[in-house]
Amino acid sequence: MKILDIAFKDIQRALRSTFGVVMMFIVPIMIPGIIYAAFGGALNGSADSGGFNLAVTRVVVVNLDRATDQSAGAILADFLQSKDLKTLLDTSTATDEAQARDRVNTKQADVAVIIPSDFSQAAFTNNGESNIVLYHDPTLTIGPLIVKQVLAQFADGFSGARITLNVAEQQLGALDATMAQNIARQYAQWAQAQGAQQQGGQHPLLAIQAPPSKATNQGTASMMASMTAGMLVFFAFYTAAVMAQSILKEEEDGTLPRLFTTPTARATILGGKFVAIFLMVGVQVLVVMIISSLLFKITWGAPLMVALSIVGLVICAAGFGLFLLSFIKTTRQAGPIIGGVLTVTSMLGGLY
Amino acid sequence: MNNGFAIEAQNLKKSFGELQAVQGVSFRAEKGEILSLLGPNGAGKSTTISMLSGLLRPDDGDACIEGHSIRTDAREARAALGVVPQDIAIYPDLSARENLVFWGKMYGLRGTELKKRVDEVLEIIGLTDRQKGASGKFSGGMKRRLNIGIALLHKPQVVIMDEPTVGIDPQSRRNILDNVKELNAQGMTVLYTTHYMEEAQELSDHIAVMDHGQLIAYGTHDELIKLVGEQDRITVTTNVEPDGVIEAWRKIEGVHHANASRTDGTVALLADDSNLVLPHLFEEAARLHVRITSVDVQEPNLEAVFLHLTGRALRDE
Repeated sequence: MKILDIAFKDIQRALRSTFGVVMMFIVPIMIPGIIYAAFGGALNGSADSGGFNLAVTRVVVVNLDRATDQSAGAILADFLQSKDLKTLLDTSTATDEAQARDRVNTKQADVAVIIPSDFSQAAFTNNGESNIVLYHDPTLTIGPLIVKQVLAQFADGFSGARITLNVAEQQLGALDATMAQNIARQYAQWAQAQGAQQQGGQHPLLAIQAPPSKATNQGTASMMASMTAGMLVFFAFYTAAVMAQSILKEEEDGTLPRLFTTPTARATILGGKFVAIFLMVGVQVLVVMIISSLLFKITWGAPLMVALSIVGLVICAAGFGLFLLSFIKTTRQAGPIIGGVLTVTSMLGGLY
Repeated sequence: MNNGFAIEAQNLKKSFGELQAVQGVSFRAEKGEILSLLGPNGAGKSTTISMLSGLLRPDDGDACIEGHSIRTDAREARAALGVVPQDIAIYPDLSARENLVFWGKMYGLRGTELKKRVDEVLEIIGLTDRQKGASGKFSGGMKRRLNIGIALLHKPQVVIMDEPTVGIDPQSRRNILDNVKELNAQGMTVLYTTHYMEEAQELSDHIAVMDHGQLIAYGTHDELIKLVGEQDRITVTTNVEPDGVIEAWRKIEGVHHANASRTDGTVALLADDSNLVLPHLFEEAARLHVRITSVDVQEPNLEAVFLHLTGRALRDE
């Protein structure tokens, strides 16, 4: 009974220390919380879950291509407005080049894509040449780069088509205009489809499937669980060592010698100290686990195994705390020694 | 050992390395009396009571508290004992009541008995109104009273008080001395250590004088006074170093002892009758061209006893 009285008194004193409570319950949550806030998106990889949210680039496209049938300009304009690119580009159209440039100048759009009048002719014949004009706000970097990348991919498709036409002419002789356009169009469509797939991060010959949203969250939770568990172990040992410090404090305050003058066995006093550390660390671990589960959606695992792990951790921490304190003579020595030993052992244990 | 005594110490010895802190101390305290251990700092008083209260194990010898040996029956001996340490030993972040409740439990009190005793002790030490305040914010006197109250919770037969009045204001000191008398009046045996002879003189039934780890005198106040032959104590201050005149004063008839203090340069003399001796003191001083600047005459007291026994004043340490 006296063991519990001593333990209760130590816990009562520990909980009256603001610094102690902060170090026991707030900091172990706060550190993973800060890491989560800083890198949670990177872990998630999803803008929806708070990750990096790349701004959508506002594009205005003006199609000046004169071709009416099989227009490469129209294909490009449609491609830029396709739903596959909605997460990257917000594309609108303009009737003429001046209007498109004006929208960029007045910051209604980030990038203007001006498709030249001879674009189809250049695309579908093997000796044509034409340039798409990219007009953008010079202060922007990422948005124009994305558009440039998309256009380059599209242009590569038509370059491939032209190479195909050359090869076809070499193999089959001179092609009539309709046949040449059909070959070029089919190749361009294939290249466009391929580009669209690659834009989504997927090669057409590889069946790569993105994990569903829930699985991504579980990955994040797992990462957070690892971090929180690391902090939990560190702070469990820290709390145990600080709680064990009460022996030194009581010796210096004269209350430990006074306890020895009461009809209380020394083993009971030491036992009380151990129980206090055990209970305090146990409560700390439970509180941190519950709060981290609520905040970071961490699933800690099967209750029985978790309970056994907690008991094991708490016993180790309490024993370590008392063992460490047995080498320390004064509370002035305790701070640096506890900090040093815990930091080194944590580094060796892979916490940092 | 004779179990009729509340405290009986026999040949207690304790050394710390080369230092022999207590060298075979024996004394007895009868039930219901106040026994003072008087001696200068470093005399071995605290070491002696540390052995009695179970903090230190004697190298040799034994002691009984209410018949329980501190060696073979230590737990019962401690249960019969209430200890008031010299330094305040309370939990500053707990309230007065919380402190008393905790220490009461350490003495085995529980439930309604504990609550009743806590209330009673709060009343005794005058902290009923402040029982819920953090004791760390108490004044020095209030902390001292709480320090004493803790030792009274289990109504011990014997209370050991180790210099409980050191470093406190006169009002709190008076309060503590009155408390000691009151406890004694209720039948408690009190072992009181002090280096203030006035306190020992006022409180004690018996006084044990210690010096350099040894008990050099034991008895009632009157018995100890007789050791110095009821001589008067004359303290003389001179305008120059008194070494020369001291030799002359020692030769005066009726002067038994003359010694210069190391701290303030005064000369302490023991004489049969100060009225007869004083004129001769002035004559000798005048002859040697020494000017006496002050004279103080005291009837025989414990200070004189200590001076007589050791050749030093109690507070010269």
